[in-house]
Amino acid sequence: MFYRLLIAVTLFLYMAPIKVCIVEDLKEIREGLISLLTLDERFELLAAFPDAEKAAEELVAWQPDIVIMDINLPGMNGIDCIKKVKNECPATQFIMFTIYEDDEKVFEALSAGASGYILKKTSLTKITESLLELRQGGSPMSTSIARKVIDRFHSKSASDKMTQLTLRENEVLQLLAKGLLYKEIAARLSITTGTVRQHIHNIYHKLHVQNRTEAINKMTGKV
Amino acid sequence: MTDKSNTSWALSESGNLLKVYPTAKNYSTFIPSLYITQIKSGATLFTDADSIHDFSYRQNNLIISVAAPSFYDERQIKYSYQLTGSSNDQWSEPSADADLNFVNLAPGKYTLKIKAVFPVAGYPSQLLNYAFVITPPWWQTWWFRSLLGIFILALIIFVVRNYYQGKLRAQRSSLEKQQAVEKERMRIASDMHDDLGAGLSTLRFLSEKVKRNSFSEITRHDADKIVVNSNELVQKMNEIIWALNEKNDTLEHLVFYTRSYAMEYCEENHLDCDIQLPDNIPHLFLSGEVRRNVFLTVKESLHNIVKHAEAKKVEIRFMIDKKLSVIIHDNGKGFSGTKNSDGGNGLRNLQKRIESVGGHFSTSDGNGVIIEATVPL
Repeated sequence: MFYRLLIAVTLFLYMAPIKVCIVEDLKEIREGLISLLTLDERFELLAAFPDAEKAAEELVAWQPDIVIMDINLPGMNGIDCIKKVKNECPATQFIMFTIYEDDEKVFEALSAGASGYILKKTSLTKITESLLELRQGGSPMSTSIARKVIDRFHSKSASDKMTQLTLRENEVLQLLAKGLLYKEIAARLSITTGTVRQHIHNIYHKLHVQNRTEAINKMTGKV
Repeated sequence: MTDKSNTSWALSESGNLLKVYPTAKNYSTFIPSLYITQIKSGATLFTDADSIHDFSYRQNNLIISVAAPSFYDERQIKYSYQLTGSSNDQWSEPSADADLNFVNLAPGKYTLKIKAVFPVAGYPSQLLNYAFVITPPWWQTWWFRSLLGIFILALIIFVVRNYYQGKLRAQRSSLEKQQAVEKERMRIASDMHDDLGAGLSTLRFLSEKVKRNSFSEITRHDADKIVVNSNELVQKMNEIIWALNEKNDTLEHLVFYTRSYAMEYCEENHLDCDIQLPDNIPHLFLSGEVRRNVFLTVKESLHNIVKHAEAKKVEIRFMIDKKLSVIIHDNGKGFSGTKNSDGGNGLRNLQKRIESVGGHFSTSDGNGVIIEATVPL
């Protein structure tokens, strides 16, 4: 009886739709996303905000699984919005919704705690796929972002254990920076593309932790 | 007459014989003194040599007259002198001339040694020392010279500093201008980037909505075209920004960026892609113009291959020595199979691109098409 209940609860949790919030100022895009997510039963749209100020106020109350966050917003930008609510939404994954992959701001957002990004040019069917992938821990990373991540980790030689990259993570980064596709990296390192994604997910996490530690150190006057 | 005992006998006019006892004392007790009687310096005459030791540089012609009264034939006295401090400090030839002439003495300290010899009278020779100074003109004094030296040095430093400061200022202003241009360029680019990007994204979303809501096949097809075109425009914008961003101004960036693009594009279009890069890519500066033109050459070549070549496989090879060479080789039907005249036009554009950055562009047939672009590094 107890086991059955446990299985049922697990199944329910597993099957439970992913709770999503949207922060996007352009009406057409916001509506496009809204119609996409409301039609898909794997997702449950909680709220859609046209600006970061409103989102920053309400996101904590919603506690969504995923926030699809635009970067350029009329007032506060998406990056600052993440910084503001990140600590109070520990289970929430922030996904940047960006036009350009090579944008400086994408890297900034990742350092601020975003766990990935989706390009706006992605077709609607692929957006849902990417969201599901991200939920399972996979993250995208472009060549230029990989380069920036490498630069960041190299410039901080005295980083603590929490933020040190493993050998594998380093290998993945180096290959990404050289313009290799996930598929190629997986073949070269004899791992699956899913593992590559998982590594990248962990790298983003360390990037965020390092960024936060650095900010705290700066505030408390440590070098 | 002098006899053996050195006694002289003399006969006077009156017939007396005079006996003169020779006493050496008579000779030796008298010592003639040697002294300067007068010094004529220019038009001025000094009769007391002890009172004057300094002469102005304007009065540097000295006539020093000496005398050694000896009550004997004074014309037989020979004078010789040595002037230390001058260029010639040898003893002069003994001469009867009692006026020592010194012409055009340079400013300085002098010691004049005069020796009088009495070859006939047999007196011991006499020595006289006379020290004097010819004072230098004010412009030859040490303090003036050092001041002058300091002044010249200061002048040189001032001029040099002024020159370099001017140069630095010019450099700084040109750098500032350059930075301002760069900043403006980035601002325009970033505005374009954000505004046009947002506009194009909206366009894309709207087209997708149209596509979903329409029952007409033609409308759906057109909406699809809008989606593809706006995505392409976003990609082009991304490339412009990439080329403008000076953080990417290295050979490495070009090679990796191009590789990443090519792999992704080939994957999307089901084209087998083999990319070969050198193991070590030297750290070299490469301007945005060169990067953009090389990247676009690869990109447009790949587009042509996908559109016209009917190839299954493409091989892209980067070679780096003193130049960067990119060779793109597909296994399609080659030029001979292409009827399209537009393809030729596209190739001419690529050639223009590469030549505009001082490079060389060539194509050849060989189991498909081989495109080779070389640019200087």
